[in-house]
Amino acid sequence: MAERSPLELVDRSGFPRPADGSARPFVWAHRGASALEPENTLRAFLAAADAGADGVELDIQLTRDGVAVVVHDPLLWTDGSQLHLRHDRAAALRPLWVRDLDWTDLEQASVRWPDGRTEHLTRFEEVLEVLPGQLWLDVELKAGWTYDPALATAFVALARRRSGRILASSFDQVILRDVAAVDPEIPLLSILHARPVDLPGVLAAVPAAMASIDRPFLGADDVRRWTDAGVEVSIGGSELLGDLDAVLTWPVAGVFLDDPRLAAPAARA
Amino acid sequence: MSGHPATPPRAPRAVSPFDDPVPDPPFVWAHRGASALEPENTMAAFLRACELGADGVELDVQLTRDGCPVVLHDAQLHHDGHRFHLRAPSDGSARPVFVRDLDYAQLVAAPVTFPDGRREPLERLEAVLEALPSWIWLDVEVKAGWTYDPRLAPVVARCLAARPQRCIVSSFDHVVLAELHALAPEVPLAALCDARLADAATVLGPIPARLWNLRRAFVTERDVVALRAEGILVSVYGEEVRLDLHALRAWPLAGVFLDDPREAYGSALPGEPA
Repeated sequence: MAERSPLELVDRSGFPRPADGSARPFVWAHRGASALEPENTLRAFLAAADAGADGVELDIQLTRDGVAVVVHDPLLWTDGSQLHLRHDRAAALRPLWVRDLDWTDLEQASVRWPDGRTEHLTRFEEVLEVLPGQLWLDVELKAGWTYDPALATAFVALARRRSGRILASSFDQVILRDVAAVDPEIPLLSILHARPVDLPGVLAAVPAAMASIDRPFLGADDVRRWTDAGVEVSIGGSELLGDLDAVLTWPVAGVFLDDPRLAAPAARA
Repeated sequence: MSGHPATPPRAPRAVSPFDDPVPDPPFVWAHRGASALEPENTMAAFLRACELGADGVELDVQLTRDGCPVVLHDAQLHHDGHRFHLRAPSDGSARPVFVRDLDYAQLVAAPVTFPDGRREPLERLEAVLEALPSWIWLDVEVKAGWTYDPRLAPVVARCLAARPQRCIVSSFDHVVLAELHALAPEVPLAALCDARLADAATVLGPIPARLWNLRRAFVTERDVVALRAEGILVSVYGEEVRLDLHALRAWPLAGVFLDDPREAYGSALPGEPA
């Protein structure tokens, strides 16, 4: 890897750093090692740890009966007998809101993942029980159109069971504010897909010190400018694979990858 | 139905994307043209949108290496050794190429293969502005971000000078919007963002813009109402718009973006008998 001298000038307190003490960007496994195992399952999270990820990113939302369930989309799809994680235009599928389903029903349901595998959905609580304590968790709170402040309360209640090493992220800055209102100690990561004129100002509205922006929306100069202004920038998106080696030399705090082996030092050595 | 867009399929609605009170039903933008029916961002898609009674056409613009504004969404095309594909073929036979690394002549040497197998030529922005009828509104989305090029705002400003009426410019790259405003302050701007912002009004300040185009998944009715009280109008885009068009009808939205503009009104166009 190239010299990363700008990093030494940057205060990055707040964002997790690699446990090996190196100055490289923190490697998050996006929805777990979702290139290797079905996304947002325990298998994907454990595979991420095996693959050398520093942390695991996962998505949570609330069922009707208030259980934090690990699933990305606000909708599941049913063919009448089985649930599907994604819509398939070829099949006659009907959408179901996760928030309109009870965990007592979901728990037993087999769900078809896009690769054809059938899995069960996982409760966030189970993730906390199973995953090793040294692994960082980035818990993305799915809100926006399904905004419900109860999600922030439920998240904090569970997050407190873990002794640190957990942060809350969201595209919804309002739910991040809700998290801070319940527990100001949890670090907040604001996700946005845009290239704002004043990113520090956009984050100050939460307030949050960290931003995650997908690769197509920014360039190296933006990362340098925003980092100099005190923002910790992390980058995700499948487009990252196109020039990952270059991005890893920028002063980015972290990268989000479906396959953490692409950036994890053990795999790259 | 007339095949020629010079004659609108009905009297164009007397609405603009920044009317307040907002039009009812909301302004209908054909996203990348009528992209559910024709290859996206092609003349065929734009003319189809006109025929179908969309109020406006949304299209994407980026710069080639030699500075031509080409109408195209993705930053990369995929070349199989013979021709370009809009999206990567699943057999892995093509390699990605940045549009910014290609000259315009290379891009238009042969038609591009679209995901449905059709081959269509790419267009320059100037050609689209000239070909589309004057009654249709245009939302020119400028693509930048990772492919940011300081030549983009001046080129777009120059093109729009030739069609000063019924054009707005939008972008996820708010820096480019601010640059465009400095060059052409008369052009209305819409900011795009995938996020639900705690203070969406203030983010528009430095651009400046009073239109937010937001992804449906990240906005609530309350947000739309609150922004409107500050003089900011919201339109929504995203695949998920189709899922609850009915509920969205009750919101004070300025507009909706749809791949098939007919979906906005069921089978009937506004002003036509149901």
